[in-house]
Amino acid sequence: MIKKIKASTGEKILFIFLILLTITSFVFFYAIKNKCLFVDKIDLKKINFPNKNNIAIMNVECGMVIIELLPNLSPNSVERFKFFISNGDYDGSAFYRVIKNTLLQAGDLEFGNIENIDYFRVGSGKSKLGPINSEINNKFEFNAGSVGLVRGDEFNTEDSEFFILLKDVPLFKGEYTPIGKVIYGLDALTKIKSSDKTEYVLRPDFLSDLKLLEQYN
Amino acid sequence: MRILFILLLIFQFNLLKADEINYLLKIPNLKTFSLNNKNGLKYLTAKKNFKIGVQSNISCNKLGEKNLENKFSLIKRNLDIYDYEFLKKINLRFIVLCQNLYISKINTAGIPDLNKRTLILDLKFNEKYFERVIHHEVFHLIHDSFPEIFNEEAWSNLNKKRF
Repeated sequence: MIKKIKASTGEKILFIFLILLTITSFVFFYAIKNKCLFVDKIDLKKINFPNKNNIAIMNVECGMVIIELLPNLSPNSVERFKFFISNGDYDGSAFYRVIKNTLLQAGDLEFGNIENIDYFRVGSGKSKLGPINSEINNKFEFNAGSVGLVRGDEFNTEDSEFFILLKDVPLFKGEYTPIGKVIYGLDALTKIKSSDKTEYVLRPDFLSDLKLLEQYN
Repeated sequence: MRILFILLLIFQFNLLKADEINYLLKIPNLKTFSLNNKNGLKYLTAKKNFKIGVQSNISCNKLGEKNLENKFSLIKRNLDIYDYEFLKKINLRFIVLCQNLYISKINTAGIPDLNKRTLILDLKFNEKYFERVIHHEVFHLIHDSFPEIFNEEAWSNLNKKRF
């Protein structure tokens, strides 16, 4: 006859501890691996947009980003931006230049798309439309969520590239053309891949698509 | 190709800490000091030593806080005489303050950069004539912004022949 041996209190505690450790490890492993876990999901149907003609929707790995465009501030630049969006030119564009918790840059149509990324030339690409004039506004505050057109050293060299700020940057006031403001989904952008040492990201994240709200209907 | 890109990143950017000021001005290790000035000038200071330019031939050092406190009001007073429209014409927007400014190992008072609309000033250079130095550097920007209206020959003739 087999004699049953009862577990001691110490053994029971150790057993429970091991179970808890296993559960915790799984939870942490999942949480760490899934960088999008704590990003709020956006439901377009629940948002009432006041100006539907000037809303752009970007899809990135961690969710949706909604940008209100500002044609009153920068009519030509917004028109150009909307043209590229309507054409689907930004779909698959790389966030190849990222300053952690500060700024993301994308929109190189020639060398910065998932289909044709050229690590040596990304950032120097041009659209087929050529540069446009800067539309500087000396009163616009470049706060977190502001979207601006990228330019070269000189003004009036803006083309297709744009940046989105993840924090307030007062220094940019009067330096760049503002084209919009992220009104929902900035969290999703903070999860875009960055590098600690450089602005340039090897194997960058890509935006899935960028569309106008009217293209959704 | 990717290996080459990685090497490029390591050599080109290893020492740079990316931030929004470097994004705009291509000068690393700066911090903003004074932004809301009537004539639109934005003052920045070196929080660490920096090197820029072709083969990093321009270098300048972090500024001691005491040195900055003493000099800033002097610099501001001198630059405040230029108004917004004038500064826009001569392409001056950013003043970078640092100490021990060298270009190709030669100590210099200031380096104006027309493209970046920036003037780098060495706060320790020639303390006696520091105020004159500021205007001297501003004049470089005037000259560089409108080279067509300056007669180089007539200008040179103002100097002694052996100069």
